[in-house]
Amino acid sequence: LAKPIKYKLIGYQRTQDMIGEWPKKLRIEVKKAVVKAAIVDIETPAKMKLTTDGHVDTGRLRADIHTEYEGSSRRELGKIGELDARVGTNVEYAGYVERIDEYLTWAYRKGVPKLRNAIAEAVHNFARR
Amino acid sequence: LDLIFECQKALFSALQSAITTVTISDEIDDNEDYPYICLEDTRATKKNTHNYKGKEILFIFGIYTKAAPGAGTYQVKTLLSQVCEALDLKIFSLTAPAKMKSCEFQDSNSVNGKEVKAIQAVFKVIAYEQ
Repeated sequence: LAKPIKYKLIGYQRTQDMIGEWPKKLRIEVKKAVVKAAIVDIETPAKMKLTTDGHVDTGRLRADIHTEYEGSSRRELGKIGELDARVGTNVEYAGYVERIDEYLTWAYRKGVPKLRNAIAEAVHNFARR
Repeated sequence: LDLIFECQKALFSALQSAITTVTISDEIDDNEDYPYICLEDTRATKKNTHNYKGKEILFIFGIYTKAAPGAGTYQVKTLLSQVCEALDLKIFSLTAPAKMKSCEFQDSNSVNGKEVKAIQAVFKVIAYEQ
């Protein structure tokens, strides 16, 4: 099992502390936004990066990159909180490819601004109701 | 009735009619001739109302080219605009009792490799069973 690379959105601690006090409907909306952004803005670009950088041979690594969240069918990437989403893979050589080309790190950095916007939009839409 | 499959068939049919110059496939194939368009991923969430059972489905397409810098960017952007022209704000007929409510372009992301360029196009489809 490859050693996981962990990233944390900094500057969100106060928000995270308040999440427990959020109404359930808001938490559901934020969760939807987080999962969607993780799939669309991190998982898929990471897969596409493997293709554009010529790392796809059998397609095993590309096919195994997936997003886990509370309620998802796969649970291999560790403990998941209510509003968490984890993008990764358990393929043993994934870490090796990551060290060469940083496909996941690249996708994460590219996707985080969109993830932040998605969360902000979900909160904003909820507040407007 | 598989709403996702019904929508996928409709979108593919529309793309294949609109874009005849490149291959449109439902899985990535490294042996494919460039440029090509493939369906990267499909994700669905329930969108039920009092009256019908529905789904909100995200279709994520990848457009790949191996053309030289500059020309490659132009090629993927041209293909993206053709994909949008074919799918955005269109409503396609599905096999009854399935019905499409909307199909909208959501977002795009570009991915540049050393030789291959790609762009991701995300479409949101809302469909339901009458």
